[in-house]
Amino acid sequence: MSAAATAAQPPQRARGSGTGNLLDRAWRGIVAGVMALFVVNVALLIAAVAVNSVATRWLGTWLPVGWTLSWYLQSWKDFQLAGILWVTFEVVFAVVLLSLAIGVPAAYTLARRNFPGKRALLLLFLLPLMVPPMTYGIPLATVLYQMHLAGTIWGVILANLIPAAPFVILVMTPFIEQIDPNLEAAARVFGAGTGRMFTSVLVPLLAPGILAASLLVLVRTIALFELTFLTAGPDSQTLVVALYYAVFAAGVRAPQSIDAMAMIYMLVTLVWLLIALRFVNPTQLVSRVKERPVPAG
Amino acid sequence: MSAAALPGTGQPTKAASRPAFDRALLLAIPATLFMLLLFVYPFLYGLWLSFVPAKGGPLANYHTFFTTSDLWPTIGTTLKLALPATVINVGVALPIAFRMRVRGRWQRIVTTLLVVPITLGTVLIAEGMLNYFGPKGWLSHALQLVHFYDGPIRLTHNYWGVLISLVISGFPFAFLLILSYVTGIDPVLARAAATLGAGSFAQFRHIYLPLLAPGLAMCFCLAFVQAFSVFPSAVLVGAPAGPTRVISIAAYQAAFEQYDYSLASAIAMIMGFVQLVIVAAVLGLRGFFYRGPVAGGKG
Amino acid sequence: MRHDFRELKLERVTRRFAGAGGHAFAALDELTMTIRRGEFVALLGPSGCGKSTALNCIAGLLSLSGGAICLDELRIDTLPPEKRGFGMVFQNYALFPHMTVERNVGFGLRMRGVPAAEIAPRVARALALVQLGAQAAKLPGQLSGGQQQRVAIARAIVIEPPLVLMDEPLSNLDAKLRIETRAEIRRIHGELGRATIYVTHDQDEALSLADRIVVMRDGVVQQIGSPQQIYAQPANLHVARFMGYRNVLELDVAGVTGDRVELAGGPMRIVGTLRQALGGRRAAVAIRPEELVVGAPDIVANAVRGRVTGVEYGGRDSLIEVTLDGGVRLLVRSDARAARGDAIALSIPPERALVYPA
Repeated sequence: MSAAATAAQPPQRARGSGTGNLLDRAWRGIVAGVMALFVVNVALLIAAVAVNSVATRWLGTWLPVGWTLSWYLQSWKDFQLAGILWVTFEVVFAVVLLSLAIGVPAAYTLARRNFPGKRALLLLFLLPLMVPPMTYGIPLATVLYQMHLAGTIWGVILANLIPAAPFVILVMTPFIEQIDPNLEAAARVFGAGTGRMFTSVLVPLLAPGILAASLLVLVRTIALFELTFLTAGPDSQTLVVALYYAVFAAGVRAPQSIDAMAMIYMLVTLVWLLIALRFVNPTQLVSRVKERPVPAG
Repeated sequence: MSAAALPGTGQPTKAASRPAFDRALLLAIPATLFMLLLFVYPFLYGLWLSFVPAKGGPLANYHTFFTTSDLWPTIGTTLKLALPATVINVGVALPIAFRMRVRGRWQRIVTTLLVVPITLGTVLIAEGMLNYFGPKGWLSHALQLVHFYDGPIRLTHNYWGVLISLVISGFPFAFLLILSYVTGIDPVLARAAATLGAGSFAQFRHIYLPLLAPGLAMCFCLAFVQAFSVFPSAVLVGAPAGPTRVISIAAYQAAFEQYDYSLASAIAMIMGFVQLVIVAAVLGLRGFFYRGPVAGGKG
Repeated sequence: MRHDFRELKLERVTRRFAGAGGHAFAALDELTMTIRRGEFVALLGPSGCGKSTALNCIAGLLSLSGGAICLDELRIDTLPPEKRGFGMVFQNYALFPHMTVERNVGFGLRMRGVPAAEIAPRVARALALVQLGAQAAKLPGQLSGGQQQRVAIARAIVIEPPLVLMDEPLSNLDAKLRIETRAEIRRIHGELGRATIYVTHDQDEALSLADRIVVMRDGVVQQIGSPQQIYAQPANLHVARFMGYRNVLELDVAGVTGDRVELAGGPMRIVGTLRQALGGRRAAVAIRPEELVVGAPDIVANAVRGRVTGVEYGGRDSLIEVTLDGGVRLLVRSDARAARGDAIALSIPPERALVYPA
């Protein structure tokens, strides 16, 4: 049943919309152009910092007069980066562990149970992510001063925990919802008690989510400026706060030294970002607040 | 379709026995306590503190704020920075994110690249801007080279520096957020619209835009509050003494330079209040223009 | 937009996709067929056979890697979907969640610039045709699956397209609803008489709805014919297996006379009817469970004996599994009474034992 024979007259070629195609192509060009402009400028911005950090001197020419790596050693000593890196490390890992410890169980409750006041609780957990740190940071710093925690490393940890724990909850709740609740029921039916069920069924299934959440919290906390800035003392500064002070008091130290420190900060951040990106989608760093995808009718 | 728990719909199962029910609720207690203690309480304390100034009646702080010549204009200054920055960020991010909605290599590359400025943070971007956007930086040289501009450019230590930094850190955020909303819309809807005669623009206008409206409003609010509370860039690449004296600087100075925690709390409350007003206005405007289901599809 | 046409021709339509390992695989391979005005054509086949790909190519949602699609003399495969004017019904309905039923159905008319005064009555007529006039102001989220599918059908036909495309429209519905909506589709097709291309993997749907069935597999057409032809005279072993010829025995060819083939396997001798030219010493014979006759000792040809090893009661008849001496298992659908362990004699009418190359 095949009409393989060609028609007597050649079939008309359909006329495509010429102007439509042109508009479409122009639009695509504009979009690509804007994106390229943005990416290139940001890349050059970062490159400028990098170049300056290895420059002997750079005063307004295209490229510096000479190159050296000595600024890194200089800034390491000048800014006591060893101590600061250690503090950063302590703060970040404490925040990750604590936020997981209180966030994952809360996420489980939100994902699996309905109860009166659930929406209020959800709002409570979402607020710290929607209200910018500077707005609640000042009252928070005041309270921490009252509790004599401000200026200590525990004050910094607690402050950074405020956006971190809700973030864990936000990431883990849909993750837990995705796990078939029947799996837990099946485990019980086959004789597992609550403890065994957790260790043999839930935790292995949750592991990728927990890993993703911890990496995301880690990356966000390293870069979180405002809260640490408002609550840290001189020996509980994280790297980003130390960098701010260095840039702020820019007249005191050589700009190359500051940029070397900036490069170290960038390196630390980007290394963890790269590690995180192996396990998570870049969009999860920003994380949708509340909206569920619109299913087709 | 039974009413029992369907995976992925987020409908929790009804608990079978009482003890398990209570125990699961207990799991949320640490987080709840933590939030109440360290988020709600400081806020309430700050609110109370703002009404107990060092001297004067309960409203003295607010009176001081609105009469001191370097305090009350900060609201306007901050709005002048935050609103244009947010409009640019969301307005430019929307068509670009829409264009990139097709999952593929480009989308992956672009999202990975855009995550970098967000991760690096405002402080590093400010430092980079001082160099690159400065009067002796590469951009200045390049623009002078092509005779686009005569003389060194003035994009740092002024209003433009802060605006640019708000765009650099805010655009990727808006883009990623809008992209996640756009990709959440089932592409089969656009295909159905195409078979019914809708071209690319008609698909955008009649299908995507109405479905994106709630998300766009949300994105605008989130981007705005972020921009409104700008601090490090206003200090580092702005002119904190004058044109870019934003409200967060005023609050910071009150707290850490004048040690007037009461005034600082008042300023923080005002800051939060202005943000609330704008957010309410945007959400109200959205409701006015778009009368449709907020969450589409099966309820 | 043409509202009437003589025929839609697919000429050597090919669509390639990038497959695993880098090299392309052809989801459609030189597909050639013609659909005439008013015809109901079903594209039938297992998953991955290319039927949905073919439909999407016709709709314009996929571009062709080769070949052409022509509507009468007009070549349409270069047109974007919004210019082809076909109505399409999707598997998951694809109703616009933010529009009421009325606005959903009227969408295509609005896109075509039909004046508002004309849209309202046409929408009302389409909704009446699918018996959903009362739900016009509801949102899709407030309707059941079956109702949503009927809205989708109304939306596709209200634009009075020359061709209606349906992509497995019933697979998301439960069994009872499927049968009801199937009847609806048949009724609507009868009333409107629009050419329809219907994609499905369910042979019952295809048999009951189509004027002609195109059986596909791996992007290649296996057979095009009326439901009766496909059901009773499958062209090759794939089609036979797909259409329910559950007994397939691979045997040696003992002799061929005209269109009769004698097959031998152990002590068994079967005479069958040749359906496709044989290639070698082996051949496969396909027999429907419904066409095996229980008992009938006077038919000597193709008589086999065995034991009943399983009975699946089905109300009107039973599916009896019979193991012959020699180990071969046959399935028989019959209303004869049988119990496990019974000795049973079967015979196979030679004209219903279809022989294909192995």
